[in-house]
Amino acid sequence: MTHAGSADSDLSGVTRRSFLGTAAAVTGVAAVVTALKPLLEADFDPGDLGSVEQFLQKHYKEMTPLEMEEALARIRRQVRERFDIEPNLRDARSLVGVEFVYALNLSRCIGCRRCVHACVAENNQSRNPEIQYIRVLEIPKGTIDIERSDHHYDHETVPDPDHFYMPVQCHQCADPPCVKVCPVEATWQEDDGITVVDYDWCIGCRYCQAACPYWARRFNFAEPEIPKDQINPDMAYLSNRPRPKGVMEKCTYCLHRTREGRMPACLEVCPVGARKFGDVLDPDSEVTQILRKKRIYVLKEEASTLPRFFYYFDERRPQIREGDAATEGAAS
Amino acid sequence: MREYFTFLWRCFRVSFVGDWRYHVWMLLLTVLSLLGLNAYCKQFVYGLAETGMTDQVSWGLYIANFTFLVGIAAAAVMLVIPVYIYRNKDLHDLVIFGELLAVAAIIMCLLFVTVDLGRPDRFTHLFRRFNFPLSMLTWDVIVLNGYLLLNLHICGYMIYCHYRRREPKKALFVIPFVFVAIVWAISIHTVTAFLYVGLGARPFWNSAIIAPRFLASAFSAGPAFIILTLQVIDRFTVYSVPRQALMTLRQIILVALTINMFLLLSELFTEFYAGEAHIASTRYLYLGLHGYHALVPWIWSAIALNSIALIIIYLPLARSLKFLNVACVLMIVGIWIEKGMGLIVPAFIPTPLGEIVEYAPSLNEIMVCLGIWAFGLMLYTIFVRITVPVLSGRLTYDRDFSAVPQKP
Amino acid sequence: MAIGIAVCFLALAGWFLFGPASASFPRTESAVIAASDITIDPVRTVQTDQPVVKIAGFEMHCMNCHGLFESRPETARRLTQHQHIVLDHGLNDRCFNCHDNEQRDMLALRGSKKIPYKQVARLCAKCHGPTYRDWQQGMHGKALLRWDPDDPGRRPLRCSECHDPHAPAFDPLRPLPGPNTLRMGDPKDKQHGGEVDLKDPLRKWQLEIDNRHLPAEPGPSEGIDEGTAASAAEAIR
Repeated sequence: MTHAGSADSDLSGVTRRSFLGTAAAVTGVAAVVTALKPLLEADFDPGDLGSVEQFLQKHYKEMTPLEMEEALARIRRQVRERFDIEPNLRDARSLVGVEFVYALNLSRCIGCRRCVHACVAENNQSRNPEIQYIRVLEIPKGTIDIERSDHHYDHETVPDPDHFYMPVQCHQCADPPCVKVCPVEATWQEDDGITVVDYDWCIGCRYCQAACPYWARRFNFAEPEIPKDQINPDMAYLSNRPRPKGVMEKCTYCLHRTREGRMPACLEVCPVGARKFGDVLDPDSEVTQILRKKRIYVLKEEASTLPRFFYYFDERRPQIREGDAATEGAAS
Repeated sequence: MREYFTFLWRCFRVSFVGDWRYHVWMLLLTVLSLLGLNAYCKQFVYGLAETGMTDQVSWGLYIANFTFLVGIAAAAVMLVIPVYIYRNKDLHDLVIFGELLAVAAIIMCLLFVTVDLGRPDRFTHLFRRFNFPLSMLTWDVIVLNGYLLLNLHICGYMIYCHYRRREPKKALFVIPFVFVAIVWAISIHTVTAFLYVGLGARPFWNSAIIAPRFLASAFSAGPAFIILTLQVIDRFTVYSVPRQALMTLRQIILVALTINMFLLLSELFTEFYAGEAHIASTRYLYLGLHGYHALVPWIWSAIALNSIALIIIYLPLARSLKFLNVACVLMIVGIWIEKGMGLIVPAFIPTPLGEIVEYAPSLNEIMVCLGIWAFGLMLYTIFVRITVPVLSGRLTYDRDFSAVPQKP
Repeated sequence: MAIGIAVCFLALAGWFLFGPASASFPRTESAVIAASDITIDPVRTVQTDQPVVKIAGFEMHCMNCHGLFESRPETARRLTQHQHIVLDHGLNDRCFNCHDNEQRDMLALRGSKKIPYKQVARLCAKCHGPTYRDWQQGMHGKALLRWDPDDPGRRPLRCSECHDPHAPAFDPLRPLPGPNTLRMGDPKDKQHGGEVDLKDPLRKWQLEIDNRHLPAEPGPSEGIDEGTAASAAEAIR
């Protein structure tokens, strides 16, 4: 948009003035073109931003099996080019007749953050800028007000005797506000209860992030960076395949594992067995037993989003050795 | 058809014609717009990490400006209602400037939303899978674009008729659209308010008073903006703006700003007297929380600016344009702070998990905002530049503009 | 006028071309997590049916020694073998509460009932009934690999695969690094959560806790010394 030069229609004076006008217009155009210079520095992922394939790709739910194969082939090629590995990428479809539920024992959790980092390693989150799906809250004893929690605690050892710990991740709500607000249906709830994001459909408006009462959604503010030797080749389309810049992502209960019968990574790494996972429709599953028999706490139940993530308590205090931290450190 | 393209071409050419002040003004706006474009290109390439936004505060200056400008756009009806419903003669010829302002403001709104997107290249997904009516954002897409089209139609039709020296078929092509636009203007603001109010996760927004307060503040900031622009038009063009028109707008502001302050009072009372659990964001905004108080000086200056403006407007003093203008400027700044820093950002602090991360826009982000504002003002200037000679009959189908000497 | 405009645009173009390089957001080193910190292996060695001890490179079973040498059932003297074992199991401070006196590669259940090491949970259940019931139903402990309780691949860990039976309480752990605060401004966390409403009768004691977590000043270090002295005294006792 330039307004250079006085567009003179004074036909008699087609001389110096109109020449200068043209000159001003030319410099104006030059300024516009040079303003676009940063675009030259764009290091676009081939097959992502600006690629025709990606642009034409359909929404996950609309893709035919053949189109899905094409999309998977494109992503495999991308992964090979970026990380020099051959990924085991597949489209892990929702299970039927299963509803996944998570339970976390607040009496047990010691706040060691192993779940946080196991999750990052499993789900190929960006290391830099850092994206983590799980936040461990350190809450002083005598309250359960998360506004009094500390996310950045750094004790020599945990648990700290004056605090307890509450890891928070996506609660996979049965009435998910994030799904409701998405303008392009890039995020939805699947039959087995997991809310997923189609990373190739999300427009990055971050409305879902504002809508989530559990602060469970993360945005790729920059091109995610994952060291080549740390990439997890076991990938699914809707979970841990590498994400592009500018889209949302979230915990999927490791659907590439759990939909194949395996445990989520955060559960397997937990050194104190505070995490429980299973199918709530199965009366014998751990989680069903817990929901029946234990005292349950639902975080922000008043938000009435019907989470599929429950906190529970033991009748007894778990035994954690107390004493001088330094001696303990030396002993272990 | 050919005539119409000639019309557009002439409009384009007219937008380059003006005295030195016009050129300096336009040059300034062009330079700012280009700086903004450059800053946006950086953001496009490196991602939204170039802004000050984080996962904790995921909406910032862009959405704040968007919200403010929706208010400005909606305020155009404050000129339309007196004219078409109360038959106010003073404002009759000025309505079009309000509608043009709405067009420019909506375009700025759309730009602010676009720069806020992580993947603007995927905007076509809106046409391919539209989560209507569940997502309030889809409602917003509809009402904003609808309002843009309505106003473009009304303005474009009126101007083109004047250009062709035809009598506009008002009953058919104008009046119905104007009445739709009146309702529509309320809807754009209500829908935008619902965008925030509908989020149960953010107790700061999740309150019924937000939508009425939105309207009240829009109907003060919008007419204030129009008062200022009308005076600029009066001063620099052949168009003369009757003083009575400005006084009518002053009345509107008087009522709207009073309601706005009253609603603010109700809100503060409810939040602080009961001291309920979810008051952390409000506390952060007005008093600071756990040693964090970046927004406190802003919100109190906003309240001070609005209060002073209210007092000035109430005094007979404000019949003098000088004082009226001061009040208008104070009010625009005050409401801009209130909408941006006071409404959008604090809802994210603390996060739903109680973490406090403060937000400060990055330089790049500010440049993008300045660029969009400059671009919007440039559009509005051009609209006025075209409209004035057409409406005053100096640029018509049979009479090229350049044949007429300009007003110095 | 036009010249001025042209000059302005040229200057602007120059700025775009040769001005400061693209503003970039701050980055930092990402946290390095050792693979051993996020391994999913059981905390302790997988329990075989017969405990195996490595002595001088030879794999020895209990009865290899205990079958040759007689050891008395209950003894007041210091152990000559198994000295690495620290017994810290509360009231349960007798070896033969759990180990079978005659058949050392078995555990003693009730009366003279012997159970193999694999069934250690039944032994623990003698005292820890509620925990045992929880464990049976999957509410206590951890199962690896498969979430479906009917899946044969599921691998529930036994008591002694997480707990050291001689000292079952868990040791405290060094926490892995917390979230990066690079783009978060100044995390004044020590203040966060420190606000206690003095009118709230139940929360007053928290002030004390919050004060304890403030950065150490010269004064309180003496208190720590006292603490260690006290625990040392306790240890001597």
